[in-house]
Amino acid sequence: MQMRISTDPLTESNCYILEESGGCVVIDPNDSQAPLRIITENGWTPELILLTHEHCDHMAGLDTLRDRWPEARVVVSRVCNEGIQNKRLNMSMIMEVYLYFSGHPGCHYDPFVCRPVEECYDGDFSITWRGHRFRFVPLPGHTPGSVGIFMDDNVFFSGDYLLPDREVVLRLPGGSEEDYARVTVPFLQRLPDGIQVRPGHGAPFTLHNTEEYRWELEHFERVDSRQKN
Amino acid sequence: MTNLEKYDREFIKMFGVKKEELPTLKYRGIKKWDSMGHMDLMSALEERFDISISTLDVLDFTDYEKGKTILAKYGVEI
Repeated sequence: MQMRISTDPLTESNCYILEESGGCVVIDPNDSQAPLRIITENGWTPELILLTHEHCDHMAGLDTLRDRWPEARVVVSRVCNEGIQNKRLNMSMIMEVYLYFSGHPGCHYDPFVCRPVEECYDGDFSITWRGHRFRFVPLPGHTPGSVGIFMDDNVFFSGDYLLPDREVVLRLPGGSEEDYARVTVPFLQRLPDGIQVRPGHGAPFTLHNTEEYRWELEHFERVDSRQKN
Repeated sequence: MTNLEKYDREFIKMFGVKKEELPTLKYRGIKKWDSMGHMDLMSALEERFDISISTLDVLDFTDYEKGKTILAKYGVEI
């Protein structure tokens, strides 16, 4: 299997394209053009499209891919499915302002929604693709529909958690510090040493039970401390 | 509930401030009204009043009082 990463220059989100024997899995089609171009240029066929969460910078290319390959299987969490159909919850309504505050003043970003997805899941869920097992674990906090996606138990697509050198954002619409502290942080703390992390922003890395936990743990301690006070 | 009460309630709920603090409330004047808090506030006001605030107006919304003037542009008299 080969993996390609397409990073959107504006939002810096990562789209992962995993190819095997001409078929591919697309995780977080972040842009309407770049993933499509990579897939087309290589003559691949998207067979599976997955989302880590409902934010626009992770699914702006979803409908473009579905239009081009309507037979592709799309699998998302039920809450994520609701989010992608809502301009506020998918953040596209405030993306222009978010980009302004992120150092990209003057960018134009049109609010949009995606069409509903037919195949949704609740809770812990698994599927198989070409002999590879994908397991989805609900990780609320950043958004209510966020999930972590394991591939074959040794690769973990973390969405907007475990971002190198960035604090997790919990204050966008639908975010919850309480859910993050209660559900997601304990889960992330139990990730096995040596797992390959593929974050939604920033470079992939191997997780070791030392430095890489720092940003999550520090934040958790702050949240935990506030709740106790 | 009047528009003023709705308007005030969003600030109080969002930033955990008291009603008497509202007239002097400014963007970045308190910790919670930072860029994230600002986006959250704008989003909440849009939902509350069923309006869509332009990016320029979002950036011009620098304090509690100024916000009233901006919302008036969208037909929300406070």
